[in-house]
Amino acid sequence: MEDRLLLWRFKQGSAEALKRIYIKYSRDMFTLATAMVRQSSTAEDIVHDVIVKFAQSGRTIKINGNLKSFLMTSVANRARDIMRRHARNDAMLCTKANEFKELAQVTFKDERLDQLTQSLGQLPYEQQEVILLHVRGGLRFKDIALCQGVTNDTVRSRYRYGLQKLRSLMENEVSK
Amino acid sequence: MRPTENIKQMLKNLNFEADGQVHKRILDEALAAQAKTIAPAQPRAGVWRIIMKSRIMRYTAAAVVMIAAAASVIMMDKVVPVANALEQTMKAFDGLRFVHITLKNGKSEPREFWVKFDEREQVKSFRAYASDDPPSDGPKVFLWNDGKLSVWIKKDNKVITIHDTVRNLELLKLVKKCDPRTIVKELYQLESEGKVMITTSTPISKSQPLIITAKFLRLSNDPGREIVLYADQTTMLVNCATMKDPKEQYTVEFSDYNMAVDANFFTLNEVPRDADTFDLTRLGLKQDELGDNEVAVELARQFVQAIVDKDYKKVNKLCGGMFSDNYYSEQEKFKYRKIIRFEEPTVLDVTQQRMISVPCVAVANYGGGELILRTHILVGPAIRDEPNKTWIVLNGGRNNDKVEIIKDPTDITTTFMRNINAKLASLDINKSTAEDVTKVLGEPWAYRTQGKDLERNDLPEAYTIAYPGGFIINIYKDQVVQWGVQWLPGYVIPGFVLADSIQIGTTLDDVFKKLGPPAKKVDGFGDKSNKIMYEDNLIYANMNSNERKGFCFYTLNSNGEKIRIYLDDDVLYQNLRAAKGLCMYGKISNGKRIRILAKDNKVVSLFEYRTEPIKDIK
Repeated sequence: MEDRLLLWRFKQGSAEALKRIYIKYSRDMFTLATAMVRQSSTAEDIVHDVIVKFAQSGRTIKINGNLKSFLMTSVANRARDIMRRHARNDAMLCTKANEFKELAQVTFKDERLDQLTQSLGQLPYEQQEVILLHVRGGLRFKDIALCQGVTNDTVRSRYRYGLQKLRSLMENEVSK
Repeated sequence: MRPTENIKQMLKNLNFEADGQVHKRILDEALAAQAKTIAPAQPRAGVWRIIMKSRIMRYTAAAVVMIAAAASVIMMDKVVPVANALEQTMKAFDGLRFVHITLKNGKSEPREFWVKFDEREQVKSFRAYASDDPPSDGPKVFLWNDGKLSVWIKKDNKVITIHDTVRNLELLKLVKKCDPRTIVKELYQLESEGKVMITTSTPISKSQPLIITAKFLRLSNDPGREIVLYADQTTMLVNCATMKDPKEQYTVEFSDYNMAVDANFFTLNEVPRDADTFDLTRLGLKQDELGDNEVAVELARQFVQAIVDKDYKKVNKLCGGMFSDNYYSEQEKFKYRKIIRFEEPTVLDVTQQRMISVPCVAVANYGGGELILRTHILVGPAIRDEPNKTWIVLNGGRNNDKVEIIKDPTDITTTFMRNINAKLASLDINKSTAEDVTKVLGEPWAYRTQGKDLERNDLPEAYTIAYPGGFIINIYKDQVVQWGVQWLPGYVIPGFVLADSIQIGTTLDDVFKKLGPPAKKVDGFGDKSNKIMYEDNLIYANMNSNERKGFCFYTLNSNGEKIRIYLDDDVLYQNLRAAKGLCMYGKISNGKRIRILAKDNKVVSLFEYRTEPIKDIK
């Protein structure tokens, strides 16, 4: 209910509402963005782009679902755009991967979490996205399906296969 | 914990955090971006309480109400521009110039309008059709152009054009009430004032209309009222609206948005050429800035002056076009010659229609002479309650009861009447000619017939010679038929006396004491039911008085033809023509036939009538 009130005030032009929305969801957005692109500066750019665009949308914004889902989807969409652009440049992608590894090593003191992010990066991007959006972002499968432009079943499959592979990767890592 | 559950939990605990500087930079830029999107001069729409209809809402209704009371709430369902639903429909109406409106299930007539708007979004013209408004009037076509309303009453083949009347404004109000743009704008305004609650429902299928429901809250003037708009999702134009209130429920359909119409569409060119047309916008006198008394006096002044100027077209205009242009020139019993002054008006509220009596002091020809009269000109609004009233003359002072002779400028009246009996004594009524009369009584003031003045050298077979003081002599075939006087209100001049003591003002009782009681009484003679009646059913359509010995009485037959019938002497015809208190009586006394007209038991008309038949001079 608070989100609805915040959103209404934001649509009325309230700067305070925008601040509160940012404070409330910035960590989730950063986490999702970082987990997807594995580079802190790019994640910051993604969050920056998403929140500035959100601020510009003002009264005309159309929200599908709840506010958190909207912001998470926006981050995922923006991250996907960036990843596709980067995919055209293998060298750059490689560099980013190295940066992410460094970042992950710095950020996660927990070895298990570090292992998780390493394994996550080895999954196909669509599967990573589904897992992160569903588990970390809290989006429903149908909302993710809309976001990815695929059917509900495809999303469920990606989620299931992604999790199986992630478990397998982590088990292999442990057994090494 | 299973491995998969373990992974999920680890993912949930996954956290990346940017430092404070990054947050500050992002947030500052976001706030700057937000500030740019808000136009500084643009007024805010106020509190929008737009609650999307959804399954969730059914379970959170209570919470919604609570929060709506505190502030406003936006519930989200699908991708719906909830806050902008009304704004988008308003925007869709930009440039609206034409719409066809149809009312269904309502009580109001007319039920079909074609409306044209100007560039300022104001109603410029409309055409409307009423099937039966009011009942018995039959079908009507209304055409409204820039404040002027013409109504074609098909049944009567009549077109009435009015301006700024209540009916006019009622119709305009109805059009505005049904104008889709006005409806949407008013809802937008009321919603911003917290007087209505708007809910919007958007079906997924674009072929289904967007539904905007407005419920009028207690703060509004119409609590309990509900308006539901159905808008096309593509164009956002409202195609239908249902209006529900405790008293009435009706549906308005909108179609033909901005349809091109023929230039003649907003004219009544279909009216038959032989239709009667009454353009009340050109009649009477508009009140404008004048007070009621001021407009009444001004109207009276223009009316009397028009008669003085013999501008009978203007007279007719000021009378509301109720008479022919020649009516006043032919029918008036007196003619204003010069205005002296107008006195303080009196407001009369004797009927539901407010009327004002304006005393007018003027020199006038009256009873064949020129007198100074005080008449009372009755004026009033042509149509009640219209904002800018059109006033018309209801009575131009021809009501004898209100006429006062306040001064005889030449004093000839009193002089003439003082000597009248002596002069008449030298004349024999059965033998006198018109020339004999004028030799004795002098040159008359006028020769008249049926209200018209005649030239002395061009006189008809029957006419009246008029003298001062209301003394007249009726001539037929150059012979005297009768002579005598008629009562002039407020003007009592003793003079003409018959049977020694009977004169104007004598009571009927005194008449009977003097002449003896009537041998017979006939009640209600010549009323509408028996038309023209006489004891032997004889009707005399000409002046062949040889066939009867009685005296003459004028009346009209059913065709409006004026005829004369002869009444018996010594019979009291009371309640003549069903007029209570009006009596006629004739009696031969001392060789003179006396003819009396009495009203309310007093003599108001006294004549000596010839006792011998008219000689048929060839």
